[in-house]
Amino acid sequence: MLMNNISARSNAKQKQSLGKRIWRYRYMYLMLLPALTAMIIFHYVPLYGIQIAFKKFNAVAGIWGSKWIGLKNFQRMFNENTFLNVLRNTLWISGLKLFISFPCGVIFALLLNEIGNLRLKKVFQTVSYLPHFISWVVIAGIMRSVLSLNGPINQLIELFGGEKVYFLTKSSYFVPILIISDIWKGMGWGSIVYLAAIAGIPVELYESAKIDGASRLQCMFYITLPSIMYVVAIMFVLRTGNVLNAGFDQIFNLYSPIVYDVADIIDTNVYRVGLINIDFSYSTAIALFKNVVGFTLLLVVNRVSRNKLQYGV
Amino acid sequence: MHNKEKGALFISDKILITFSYCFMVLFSISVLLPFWTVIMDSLSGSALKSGARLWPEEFTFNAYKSVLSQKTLLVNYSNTLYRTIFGTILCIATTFFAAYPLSKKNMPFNRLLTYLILFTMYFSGGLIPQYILYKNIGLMDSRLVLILPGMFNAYYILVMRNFISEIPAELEESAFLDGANDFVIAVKVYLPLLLPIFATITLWSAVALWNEWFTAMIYIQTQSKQVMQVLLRRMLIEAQLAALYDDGTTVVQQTEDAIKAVTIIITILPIVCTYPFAQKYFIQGLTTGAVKG
Repeated sequence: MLMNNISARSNAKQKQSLGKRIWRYRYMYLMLLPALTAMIIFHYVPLYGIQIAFKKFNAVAGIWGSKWIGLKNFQRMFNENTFLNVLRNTLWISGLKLFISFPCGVIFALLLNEIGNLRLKKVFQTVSYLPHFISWVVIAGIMRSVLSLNGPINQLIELFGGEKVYFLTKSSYFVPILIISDIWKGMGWGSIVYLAAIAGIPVELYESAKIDGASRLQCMFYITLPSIMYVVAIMFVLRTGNVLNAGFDQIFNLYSPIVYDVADIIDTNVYRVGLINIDFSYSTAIALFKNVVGFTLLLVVNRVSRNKLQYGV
Repeated sequence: MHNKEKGALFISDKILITFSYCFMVLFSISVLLPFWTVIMDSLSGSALKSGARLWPEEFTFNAYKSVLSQKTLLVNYSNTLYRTIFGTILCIATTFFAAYPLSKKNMPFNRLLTYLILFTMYFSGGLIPQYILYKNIGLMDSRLVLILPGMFNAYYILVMRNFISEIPAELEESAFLDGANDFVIAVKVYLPLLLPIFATITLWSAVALWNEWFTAMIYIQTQSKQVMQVLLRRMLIEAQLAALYDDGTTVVQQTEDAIKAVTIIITILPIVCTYPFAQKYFIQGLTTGAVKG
């Protein structure tokens, strides 16, 4: 009886204090309201529609009224060569970007650090950011004309006696073009984090190394690189969590049916299956697969990053 | 800084420095050259047979005159402006009023709300559930679809929250004791201290909205509501130059390249002219971990 009384009181007290605390923060919740409303509408309500991945979507019946078909869409995914090819393309393109374009940001930062003329350094830096600010629509548009049969690249090839190549329609050239243009667009911007890390290295380290007779190359490999390795590791780990995003904007604006065999990635496939073929359920199933795998990957990566690098949520 | 000193002692140093300069010069050229040829195309009056122009041929401003007198272009350009201006204002206001409460660790449900926001960065319903939703709530072919979905951005909120967290709490407490409510404190005490991060997020949001094309492409059907990026996509990627000339004007073949070039230039001009002077703000926030628990 007594115990009951005490627990009831403490419960009441706790409730009251939580209520009071909420009341104290009432204006805060009011301020949060627009963001939370938009978040629920644009990010949480669509989760309700995921169920059509397990249904045969019927526009008249709607999301709720459509008939359940279980895992049929997912079975279809793994029975169709198209999807397996799309998955392979996604991982291949993403992997190449991770292992080739990702290190370019680090290299760019190291090389820029060797530029002694501060004015020039600033100019190089500013120029290198330019492609980052231009949309893939514009860049792909320019690339299409540069790489066209009459474009400057083919003119050079012809000048040296080579055969003209219609680059963007050749499967063997398409992926290298993706990687090179990805490096071109992202290298300067990607170096920012490392430049900031380099700026934080104590000058004394370099001074004492110089006294000991170290060359700049040695300084680069034994002071600069190790000092920023932690940041590089974090960026790398974060990027691996994103491996299913192979670059929709870039590929969508550069590809054509003729190179689908190497260029079609999950995101482009989801778009075409859903909005061109109007196969809503199947498209949603593919997107759900990507989201679940991607999210799991992120949790793993975050755990690794938190435990090994003390960086994470 | 060690790299201010000119005299290199080692041969390896000379090679390294020479290589660095060569690399930077070549890379800069590779960035600038394509844009240079676009400018030259825009000023040329004759068709380009092959290769690229380093100088204008038959110098003329005709393409500019022609493009800038097209109603479609002016309407789509003002749509992009509308989207960028109102979308950014809405986004920055939403971001600030969400970030400020979330910076208060003692607020009940703070952690829960933060996780709910974080979750949106990593999991989504996918394209089709979004498509069905937008259709059902009347966003299809509505100008609102150009600005509303962008008003909530989890990343911006978390970056701003981290900045606010670094401001000493005494500031808030003394204002609170003076009887000001949280809203007044947020706007009168904190906001003036946050102008640098406001600039950052304003610029991020503005560039993102200016460059966005996918949402506009799939949800806007009426040409008079369309934005520049989609018009450009039709002209450059789908090779429908006529997209610009809906009034039936036929384009002379000679000026096709020039017309594309002019449209590219006027679309990227505002960003190209702004970013070199606002670099500091663009970069700020990139280097502070956005996702601190």
